[in-house]
Amino acid sequence: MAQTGNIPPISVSGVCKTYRDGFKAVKKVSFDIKSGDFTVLLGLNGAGKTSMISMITGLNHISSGTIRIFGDDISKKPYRAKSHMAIMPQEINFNPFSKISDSLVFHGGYYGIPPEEVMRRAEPLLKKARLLKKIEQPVSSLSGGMKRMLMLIRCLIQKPKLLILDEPTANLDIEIRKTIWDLLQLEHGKGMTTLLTTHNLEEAQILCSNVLILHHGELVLDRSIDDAIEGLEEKFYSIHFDDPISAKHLHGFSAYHAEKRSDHKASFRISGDQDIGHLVYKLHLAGLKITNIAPSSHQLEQLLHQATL
Amino acid sequence: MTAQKTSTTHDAQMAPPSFLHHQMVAWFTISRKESVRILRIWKMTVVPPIITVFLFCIVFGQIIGGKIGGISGVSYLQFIIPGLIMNIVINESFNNNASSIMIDKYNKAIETLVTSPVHEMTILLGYFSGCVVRVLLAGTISSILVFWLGEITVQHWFLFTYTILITCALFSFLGFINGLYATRFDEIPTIPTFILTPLSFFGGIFYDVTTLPEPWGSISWYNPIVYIVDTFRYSTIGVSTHDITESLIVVSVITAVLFCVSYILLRTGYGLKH
Repeated sequence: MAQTGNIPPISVSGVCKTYRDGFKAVKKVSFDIKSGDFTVLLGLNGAGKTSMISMITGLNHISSGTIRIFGDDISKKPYRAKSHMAIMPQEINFNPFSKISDSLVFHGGYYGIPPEEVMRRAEPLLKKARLLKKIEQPVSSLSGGMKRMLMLIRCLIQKPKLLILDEPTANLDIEIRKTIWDLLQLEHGKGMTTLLTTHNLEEAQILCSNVLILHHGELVLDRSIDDAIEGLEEKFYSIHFDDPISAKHLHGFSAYHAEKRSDHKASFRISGDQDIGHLVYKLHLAGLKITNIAPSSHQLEQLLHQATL
Repeated sequence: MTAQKTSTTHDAQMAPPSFLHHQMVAWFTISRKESVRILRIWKMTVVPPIITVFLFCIVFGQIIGGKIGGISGVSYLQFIIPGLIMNIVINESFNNNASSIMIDKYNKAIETLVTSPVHEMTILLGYFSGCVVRVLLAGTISSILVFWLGEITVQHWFLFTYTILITCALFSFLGFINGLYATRFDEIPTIPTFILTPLSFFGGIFYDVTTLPEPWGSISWYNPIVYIVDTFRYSTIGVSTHDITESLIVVSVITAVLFCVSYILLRTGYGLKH
């Protein structure tokens, strides 16, 4: 087993993807993802995200350049490279007639994990997802959200060093979305490196520390989210309050473009000449008790907008 | 000491499997996945060939065969039984892989396999094992039934087993190639309809190819099914029209070529990767 401590989990160097019809989906993209990072790959539709992910996972051929997974070239040493990662694709790809237990055992088997070990690893995850009692049911009996949950469990039983997620929570309700986020944060805390593509900027904001933005097949941003946001002229914050708020409470904050988001939450925009400390002080004076301040997903939206102009 | 021992045992359990062990587990997994699928739809995979071969034996072997009389020193029923069993092996092997690959492509389950660290050789052997399971299920029940009807006892067990396995391999690889090539479900029956069925009917199942007038007699020897049926007939009733060694070489070479083609297509991602 090669030492993988200092080797980047994903190293992309001068990668291009040109399809048979001549369409250039990815143009000379290079980036490294560091060990333990949770990185989001953003981009508008058609930016080349799926092509990039497909090349990293070995599902697409690389037209030129190299992709290394923990130092192993995906084109030259595909078996070693693939053994490091788990992939949760965008589309549900179960055999619908398989039992839940079979679908896990079959997936584990592809990674050399014997059935009894698969079930041992899956049990706590299935319990957390409230799927343990349904284990002998066919996959087709599950709701869309539960199928996605099962796809994530299928990845986690591999105990991967690298997890690749392609829109893992698309079209899911908030409860399942939060369960998936909790599971991801828990596993990430154990040192797993994660690459996520999503159109849900709130998800990216909550989970990720780094951002890559692709635009027309070119990499236009590769930074930590904090650094990238720091460079923005305007910043958005979500502020949670102890008591319910009304439009009347926010009336005096029009300079901050205050918008009520829920009974206890509102968003505020801080321009270059404004200060978050000053806003907090003014909210305090208005009698509003703050429980939490978090950067809003608006900031990633603005970042994406700025990068893809 | 105990704690140290427990820790060592746990580390040993967590150690990544060797490449060979990994591929063995993966091969067993693909075989199991295929077997589960075959057994789940047994009314479609196991029963029809048994009924078909039984009806052929009754109608052609007993009713019409009674009027034809003997052929190559055996009854007509005994003459056609080996060919009918081989017909099951051919069709079931081909259909199993072609449909399984197409279904996995359709519901994108094949992507899980393509992105996993399973060697192409393991994938091919796994799907071949699935074909063996299907052939054994349908073939064994059919054989017991029709061998009893035709009062046949196997003459050469090694040849009998080898012919079944090599035929199963040949057509499972052909089915695999068809599955990779197909982009729609209606492309799956193309090879069975336009190639396999004509080759089977002209493959000496129902007649002795040496009795055909020229040029048909010579042309028949370009049909691989003639060699398969002839070898299997020799292994069961001891009757053949061609040199068995030559037949075995022809069938084995075709199987090896199809294996290489399947392997190369899989390796290059034909029909699976963009």
